Amino acid sequence: MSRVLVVEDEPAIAELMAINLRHAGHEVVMASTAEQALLQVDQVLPDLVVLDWMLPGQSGLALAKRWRSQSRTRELPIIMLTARAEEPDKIAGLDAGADDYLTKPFSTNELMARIRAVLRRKAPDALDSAVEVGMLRLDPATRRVSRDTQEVRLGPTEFRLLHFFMTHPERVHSRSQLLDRVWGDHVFIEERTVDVHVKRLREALSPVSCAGMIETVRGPATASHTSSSPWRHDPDAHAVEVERSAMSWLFSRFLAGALAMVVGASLGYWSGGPVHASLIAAVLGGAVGVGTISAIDTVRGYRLIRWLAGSQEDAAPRDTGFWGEIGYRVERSIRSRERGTAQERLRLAQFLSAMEASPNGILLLDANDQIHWCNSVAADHFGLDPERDRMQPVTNLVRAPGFVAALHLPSTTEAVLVPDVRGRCTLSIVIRAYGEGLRLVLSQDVTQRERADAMRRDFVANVSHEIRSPLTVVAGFIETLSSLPLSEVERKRVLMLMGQQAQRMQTLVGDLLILAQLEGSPLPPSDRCVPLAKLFGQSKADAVALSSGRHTVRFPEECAAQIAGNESELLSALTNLVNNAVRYTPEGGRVTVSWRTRDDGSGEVSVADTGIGVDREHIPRLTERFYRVDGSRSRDTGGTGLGLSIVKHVVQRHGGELEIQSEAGKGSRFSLILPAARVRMAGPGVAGANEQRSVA
Amino acid sequence: MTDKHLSTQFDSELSGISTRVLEMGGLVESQVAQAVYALTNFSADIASDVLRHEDRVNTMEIEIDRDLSTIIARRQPTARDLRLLIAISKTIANLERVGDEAARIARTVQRLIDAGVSSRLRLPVNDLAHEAELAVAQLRKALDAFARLDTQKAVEVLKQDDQIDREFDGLLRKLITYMMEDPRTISTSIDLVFVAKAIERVGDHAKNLAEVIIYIVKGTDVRHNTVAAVESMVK
Repeated sequence: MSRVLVVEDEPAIAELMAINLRHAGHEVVMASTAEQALLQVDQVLPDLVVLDWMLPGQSGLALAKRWRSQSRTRELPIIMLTARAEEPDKIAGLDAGADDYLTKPFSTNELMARIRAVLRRKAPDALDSAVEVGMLRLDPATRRVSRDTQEVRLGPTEFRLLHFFMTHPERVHSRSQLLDRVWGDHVFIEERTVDVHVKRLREALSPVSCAGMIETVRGPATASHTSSSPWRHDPDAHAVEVERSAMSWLFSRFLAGALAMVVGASLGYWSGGPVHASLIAAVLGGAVGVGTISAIDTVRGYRLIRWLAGSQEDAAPRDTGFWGEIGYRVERSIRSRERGTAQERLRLAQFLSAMEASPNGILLLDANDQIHWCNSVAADHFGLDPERDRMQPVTNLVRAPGFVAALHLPSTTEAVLVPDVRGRCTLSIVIRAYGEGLRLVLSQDVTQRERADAMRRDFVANVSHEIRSPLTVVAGFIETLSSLPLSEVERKRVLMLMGQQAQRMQTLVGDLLILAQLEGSPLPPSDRCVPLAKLFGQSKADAVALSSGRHTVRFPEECAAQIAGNESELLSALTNLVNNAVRYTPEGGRVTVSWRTRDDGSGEVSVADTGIGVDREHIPRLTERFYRVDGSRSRDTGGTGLGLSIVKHVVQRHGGELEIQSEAGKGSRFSLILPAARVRMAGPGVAGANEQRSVA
Repeated sequence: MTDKHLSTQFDSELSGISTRVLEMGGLVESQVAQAVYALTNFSADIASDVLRHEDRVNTMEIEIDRDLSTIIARRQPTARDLRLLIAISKTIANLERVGDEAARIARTVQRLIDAGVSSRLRLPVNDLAHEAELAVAQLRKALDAFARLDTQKAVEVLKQDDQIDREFDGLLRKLITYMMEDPRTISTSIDLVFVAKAIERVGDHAKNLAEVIIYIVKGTDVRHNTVAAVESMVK
């Protein structure tokens, strides 16, 4: 006989396990919350715990961790039972201290086999298999101890003591250990009691000469320049001039020098004639001619040099001749280079503005991980100042440890997730190497994506939990019915539970289908009118049946208003609200449904109750799928957790909104606000009704 | 840090050590943010992550301290360089303490979880989260000012410190009302008072850091002066 604690908030599953465990000969203790489980364990230490992961309040995981951290419960065998079938969940469960892990839906036979296996490993004495040590044989099932054929007569305590010794052979146990393990740690008795029982055990064993088998031991995370300088002078206009070879210029220069010399010489000769010094005067005249040419050249050369030394923004000196040509050629080459540079700059500016326009943050780092350039998105993500923070080592300003670690790695391709500078968004950062030791840091805001992922994961986890739980019960009971000889009473109970669970699954699948349909179907028609009175009539019938006389349910006596929209959607929204009101209102409470038109012409259907109400902090999240106010998964009220989502969807599709007012303990008021465009009043309402009939 | 020395080796040593100080600052920043996240979400895993990284903060402090004495011994710096090194020594001591405060918060979270306090209990953790947000923002601003040697930002940090103090006082009053309403919340509330105090201390350390920045740039010790006096000194 071993004591098994079942911690499960789903009453049907708990009962399924209880029936099977009892038939397998275990004593079953049940707890539906973590607090109850803690109390149970504090009172009497069970031999094994079957623990559900999702519990109201503290999770099963936290509970397992807690038990593992305390010396008294460190050895307590725990089997985790959960709808979470993902590998990381299994790992988390086993790491938290579970000895075994079973996912729902599970087979009851498998569960029993796993319980046996864990007991065999962790608490062999809690198992009902016969033990043999030496010649001595102990059978817990028949409670017999024998050597060969000779039977030994033992008292119950001595029997347990011997069973413990035989399942833990070759070991030394202290008195307090024996007390805890054999008597149970909930029993407070004097340590010396152990001595008495050991002595009695020895005495009982001495007739079969096994007393000697018991031994007593005594004494251990740049701007560009648009100055494409409007050329004051375009050398190209000039370049249309005749292209002349440098050689022709040399020749003409030589010719001009020779001409100046000849002219000077002839002038000298002619003017020197009267003073009889023609020859000397001719030489002097030639020299003056050459000198003048040189002087002119020197002046031109000087001007060119001055221009070259200057900023070259003005046009080069437009001299004829040799120096002019040099000036022109130099200027042309300078201008063409300037144009090239300007084009490069323009391209760079376009390139940078393209990078600037990127929706992702881009950060360029130099070889020392200093910030070289960043776009405004990156500046925003990392809190940088693009001008001021240039050449600042990036890790001085982007200090998130994940980013710093990734930057220190020689090469990474994996994205790191880092909170942004304000700590409100999540950034995905990728670092890529380019050029020589240069690096590119790309950052992307993935907050929305992360949030959507989390919502999807939650939804999948919830759906699997909600569907698997009833499935587990139905499948488990089928197995139980086919393998255990149940009494008639038990059989009826089991069939009733199966029926309930099948019904629950049907409701849930129905609700899920309605939601899927709402998301996928076209918007409700605006030309078909649904009389409110009809909706009220149908949902009243439902509510009265659900309440079965425990509440006062009041609907408006007469209602001439009609609503343009989809009848079945509106009915399901109203029914959901009314049924919720009935469910969450204690016996004797009041549920009041009312209709009124507001001043702006919009209509309001309100469902008010005097029920348990909701705390203010939960109101914004009430319409989330599977959101439960008490965090508990208990199905006392029979809801699927999808009702309000459906209501919200329906109202939004009709262009309206759902208003929730509630106070804990005083009751709630859920109002469907429908836009004026969809509300038809009494007079034209009748025509609308006829119209509807004719359309139908 | 921008003035050139004859020895570029010395320059790179100085900028290297500043970078490591800021890296340590980044680690400490995230430690505080994580610890508070663990508190608001009742996550034992994140709390133990914080405690695990605590060692890294301590190791970094010791390493930077050792490098500091090596640089002082070998280079015998004067004037601004000497002020920078002295300031770094003070900064890392402050940062290490911020790390300790983060660890203290994480340990409290673990204790609360172990004691079976579930997230369902109504606790003003959101007010704590707000106080922590202010403190982390202050710390971040101080570290940014350190990286840019920006005295204006440093003065801003000094100015905003009493915002955190006010937040702390408000929280204390709130917790007292909780304790008076329901005596069962007393032990948890006392834990939260210590957390709030730890967060308030983070703000104070950010303030110390800001004073050190003014010391590096201006060479004046502005500790124990009113904010108005410091502002006029910086101008």
